[in-house]
Amino acid sequence: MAVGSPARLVTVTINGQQYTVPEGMTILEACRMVGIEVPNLCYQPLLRPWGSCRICTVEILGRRGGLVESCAAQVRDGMEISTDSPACEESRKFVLQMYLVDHALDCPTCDKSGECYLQDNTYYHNVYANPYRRPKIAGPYKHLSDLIDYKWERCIICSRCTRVCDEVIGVTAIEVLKRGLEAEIGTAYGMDLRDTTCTSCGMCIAVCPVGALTDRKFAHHPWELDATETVCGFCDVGCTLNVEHNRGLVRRVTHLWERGVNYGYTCVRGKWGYEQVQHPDRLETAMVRRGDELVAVPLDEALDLVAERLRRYQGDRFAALASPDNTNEENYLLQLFTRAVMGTNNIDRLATRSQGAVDRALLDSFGLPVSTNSVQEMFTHSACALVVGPSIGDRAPVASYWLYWSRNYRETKTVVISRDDYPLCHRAEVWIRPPEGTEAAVINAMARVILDEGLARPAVQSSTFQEWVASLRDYEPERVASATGIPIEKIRRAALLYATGGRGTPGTPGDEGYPPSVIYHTLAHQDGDVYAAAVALNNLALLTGNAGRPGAGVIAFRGPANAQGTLDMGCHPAFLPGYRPVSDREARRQLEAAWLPRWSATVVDGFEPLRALPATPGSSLEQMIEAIEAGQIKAMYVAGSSHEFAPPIEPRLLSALEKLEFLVVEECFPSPLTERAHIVLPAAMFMEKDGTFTNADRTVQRLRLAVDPPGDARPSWWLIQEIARRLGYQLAFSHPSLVLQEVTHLTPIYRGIIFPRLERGPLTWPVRGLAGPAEGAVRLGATVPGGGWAIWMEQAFGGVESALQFDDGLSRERVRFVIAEQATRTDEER
Amino acid sequence: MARLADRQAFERYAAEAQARWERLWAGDHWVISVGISECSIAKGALETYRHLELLLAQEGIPATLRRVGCAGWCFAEPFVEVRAPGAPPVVYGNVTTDRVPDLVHALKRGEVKSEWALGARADEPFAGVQPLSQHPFLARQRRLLFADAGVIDPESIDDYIARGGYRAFLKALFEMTPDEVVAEVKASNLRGRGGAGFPAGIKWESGRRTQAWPKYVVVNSHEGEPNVFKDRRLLETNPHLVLEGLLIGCYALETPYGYNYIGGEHALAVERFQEAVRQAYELGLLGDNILGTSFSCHIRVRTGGGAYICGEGSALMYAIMGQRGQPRTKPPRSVEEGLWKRPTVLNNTETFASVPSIVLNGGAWYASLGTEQSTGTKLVTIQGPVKRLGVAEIEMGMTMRELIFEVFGGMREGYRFKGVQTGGVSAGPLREDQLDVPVDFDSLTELGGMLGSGGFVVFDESVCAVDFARYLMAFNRYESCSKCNPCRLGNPALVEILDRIRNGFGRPADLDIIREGAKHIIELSLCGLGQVAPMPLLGMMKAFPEEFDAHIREKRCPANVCPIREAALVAAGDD
Repeated sequence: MAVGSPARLVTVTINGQQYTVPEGMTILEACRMVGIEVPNLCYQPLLRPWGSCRICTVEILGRRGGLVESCAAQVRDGMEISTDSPACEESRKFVLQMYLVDHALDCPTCDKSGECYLQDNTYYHNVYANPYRRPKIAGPYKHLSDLIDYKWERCIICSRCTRVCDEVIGVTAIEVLKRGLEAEIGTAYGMDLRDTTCTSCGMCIAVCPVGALTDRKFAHHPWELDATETVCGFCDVGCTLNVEHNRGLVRRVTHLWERGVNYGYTCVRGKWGYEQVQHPDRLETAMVRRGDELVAVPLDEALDLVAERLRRYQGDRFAALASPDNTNEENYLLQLFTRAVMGTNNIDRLATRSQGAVDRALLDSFGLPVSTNSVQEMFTHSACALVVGPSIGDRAPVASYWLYWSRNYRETKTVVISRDDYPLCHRAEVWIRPPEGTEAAVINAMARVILDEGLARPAVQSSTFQEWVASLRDYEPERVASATGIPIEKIRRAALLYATGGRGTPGTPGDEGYPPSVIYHTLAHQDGDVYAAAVALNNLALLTGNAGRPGAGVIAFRGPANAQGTLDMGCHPAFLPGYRPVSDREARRQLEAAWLPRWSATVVDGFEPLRALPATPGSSLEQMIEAIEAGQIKAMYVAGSSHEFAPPIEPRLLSALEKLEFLVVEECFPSPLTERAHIVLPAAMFMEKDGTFTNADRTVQRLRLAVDPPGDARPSWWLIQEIARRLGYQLAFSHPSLVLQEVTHLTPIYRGIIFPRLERGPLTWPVRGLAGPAEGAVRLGATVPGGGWAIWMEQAFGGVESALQFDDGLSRERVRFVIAEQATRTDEER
Repeated sequence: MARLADRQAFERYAAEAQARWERLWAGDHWVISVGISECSIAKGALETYRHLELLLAQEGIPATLRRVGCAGWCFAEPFVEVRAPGAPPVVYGNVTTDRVPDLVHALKRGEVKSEWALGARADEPFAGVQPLSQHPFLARQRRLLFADAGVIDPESIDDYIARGGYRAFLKALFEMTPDEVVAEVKASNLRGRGGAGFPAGIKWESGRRTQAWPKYVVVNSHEGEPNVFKDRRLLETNPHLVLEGLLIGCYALETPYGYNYIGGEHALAVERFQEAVRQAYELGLLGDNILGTSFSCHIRVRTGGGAYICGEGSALMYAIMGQRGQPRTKPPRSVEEGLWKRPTVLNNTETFASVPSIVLNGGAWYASLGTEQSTGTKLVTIQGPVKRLGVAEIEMGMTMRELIFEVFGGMREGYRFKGVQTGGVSAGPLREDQLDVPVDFDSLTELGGMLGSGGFVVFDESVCAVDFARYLMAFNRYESCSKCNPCRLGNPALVEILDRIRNGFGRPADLDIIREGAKHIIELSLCGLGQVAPMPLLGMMKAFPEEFDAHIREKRCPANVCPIREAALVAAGDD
């Protein structure tokens, strides 16, 4: 975990060797740090020391010595520690003998055999006889739900499962029941887990050191499996998964503790989402429409056909929709194909209106459609979190884990504005449940409270600020309270908590102002118009100075795994890769130099090599629908990504698609898109391809191929290249790493992000060169030397600042207060 | 009742209460007090009370019928104290309903039922009744906490104030700084009464030193051990005394947050303490800006669900916070991170109840009571075949022999003393030859016993040491919270070995296995309860080794308690 400030160091002696370790570390962590393995059963990273198994007992030598539990005892300067003295060994042996009195020892049929901590330690400590032996007590399997089994006689009551459920997942669905020897894990009143607050994240199974809690879908020996580390493709938190597979099938997903942005923890989609990947309904062959029917054809034939038909639609008659579930490389290639091969800027993402609105709000307020800060700052800086929108526990579950975690361990405060009733609401300091459509009004009322209390510390002092303040006159807290039925005290308290970094009372801020407050929002998952609410949140951050510093900012979860990366790669009608406007001549020239030489000289069927990139913005998704209706767009390439967790496709788009002359759909499941397609290309899903994803907080991570795609299915990057080649454009990247290399080369914001570095771990853009430290927080500055616009990068280490400058020729300020016109609507309606 | 606005208002109120109290005992009407507490209710005190009510009305006797608390003499419950006009109050014991008519008629005739009398509240003998203070049960006691037990109505704050209650709190509030309060408590060398005997003053001082805010003060009235009942009796008989101690504790810590965690099975204690809190709020002794000062205090009562472990400090705090009551690893100690990770000072009920007298009379005065290392008085409870069962308050340092044979009256007819189990379920027994040990914290520990919370169980020859050890171990086994391995799994293992021995299948090696296992349980357990769980067993093995030997080698139970023969027969397949 990233630690903000380096701690003081102490010197300890472990097994006769001196080491220098940070003060405040537990003995166990210190031992792990210096590479000495201390056996442990109840220790789990990120959870508070528990001290129940006592197997991590070490001996402190000297006068005030004795046996202590190393998972909880902290190192002191001058401490002499022995991890393997006879007293330790004897104690551990006793602990193991105790466990083995009733432990079933059904290892041959236990899922955990081979990776069981108890098995390992029994072997390691050579426990072969047990003076406390007696006939074993046994219990039946308890089926906690259709996913999770519990077997009492394997359980060692280490409480890892109940602690993770309470402290990290935040649901407390399982607890230790009863006392003494009879203690067991279970739910309240023996309910089925599905009927409780359980989110089926499976973390109880993941943390179980023995085979007490088991995955009902898994029945293999761990040693038969191969493992591939990759990134989850079902939401934009970007969790690292350890995909275990054999004979071409994923058998389960396990956890690489302390790795990735999720430290190994996952949600239900990460844990069991692989069933989507190898779902029996997956598309395995290319299909061509013959009359009313889709007929399976060999992939080559379908690709030939696609190329042949697309030849007729070069220019603005063509449009493409990129899938936010596809990798950066694939999306880069699709926009390249659209711009450099088809010669149009008609490219957008296959997104919902709400996703689009949230991106637009970020773009309008901060100059870029990005989250301003990193989720990781919840571990180090954030002192208060304002969580807005539908249940974050469902929409970005692993990000919600850190909210619970930091409440427990950093005592951060939480304010929830949500109509959904989920566990965080009940733990939060304030939970506001706004009636539908009133989020913006409530947030603006909070802004009024902050202004009235004199807590405003606007990040931008400009005319937009004054105009915006004037526009708030309709949002007197009293009026909003009476219109929405929310007690005014709640609005006031929420505002004060947010503005003062969780202190809740104005008081005097420190030298650096109040502690930072961060906004997490899932408005992109909400139906209806969310632009006003999203903008109101951005304004709130700007108003309180919670922009441009670590631990603050706005983090928007937009849903699909690569929603951010798709935009970064230029799948936007007005932006080239890296948010350079299509009108930017310099940027176009640079891209033309890289892209256009790939054209072969020959002209096929009137399909001309492009001489220049199109310079006017193309149609956005909304405009595409109109253009199709108007007959201007006749052919489309749609990269679909239908799976169980994907948002529904807008009916307006679907009915428009029916009017196309030619529709190519790249899909992994039969969907409303394939029903309308003329040609369907089977696509690979995230466990079946290499590449990178960029998550909600701009962290770029490496996807790895774990299993082959089913049948003829191919990754999108391969399909696009094949089509381009058939059109006379030589795209011949043999691997996504080479694509990313080109992206890195051509896109300033992705500088320094290359596969070899990603192999080591996630990188959050912008990163600084190839050698510098990678972690950094983005500061968005309004006043930039030279008058341009910049993303300021503050290095976490050393305080170095640097700016990536962009001069896009736009005259407006890039960071500003935005007034959403429709924000007053609900107020008047009531 | 209006909230008292300042000190003068309190003084006026106290003077009125005192005058009322004096008028009560001076008039020409009868004053009849019935001790109502859970123990006396079990013996029919409520029926006695109702019967008295009826009879007095029937006979037309002008009387004030009062309910008072328990006075510690469990052997004499239900008791009735009668003051007839012109006579000192006389306490009668064992007044069950069938005795009520006789008693009332005798009294109406002006007679005294001296054969039922425990004593008279007078300095001289009255009509053949000895002064109460000379009753052998009370003669050797030194009552500070129980001074008003059985005298005042526990549900009346007026009674408590009339007897000088809340004077100590006022003294602290108006005349002392919090530091001075802590200094007095420190000077008194008051040691925690919950069992561990950690000096309360030092705990309070480190609680003050910790900087975090807010802080909490918690009374531990859980008292879950099977043979201790001092705290619940104290709460039933004088809840305001505990409340006053807690208030002073909150003042010393300068915090407005106090808790009392009372075991859920002590229903009447919970009820009476809650009533006391309600009355104190009403009078303005709790709430914001108490008596016009800047000091505010809010006290909440929490009840347990019956788990023994919730008497352990950190487990108790989790229970208050609404979580599963399980101890946590230390450090940090509770005074650094307790309730909601804030500094929390937790002491036993009796400890807090001792504080008012320390504040009133000074720490030095308190330190002069008892022994040098164990100052003050101690509530002790006893069970077993002794003559006078009950709660006694003795000065520390009285010998165990005096306690058992003088205060509690020695063994009943036909019982021969065999030993006394000390420290509840957390230590070993004393044999008869060890009885001259002073009852204080350190002397008992030296002999393998423990003062603990002052609960003693006397047992006689009909009790088998192995069986008794098994009972004590089984308590710990069933009450283990299940958190740490050695306690959760080690105690059952020891109980199983004891069962083996009780059933006649003991092996000589078993004793070594017990010793080895007990050593590990003591060394490795997470909390204090696990660390002492095997102590009673080890103590029994040390005190009565011959009985264990008889079970294992001779397959014989000297007390004829264990199922040794039947089990052996069944095993042998004999009929």
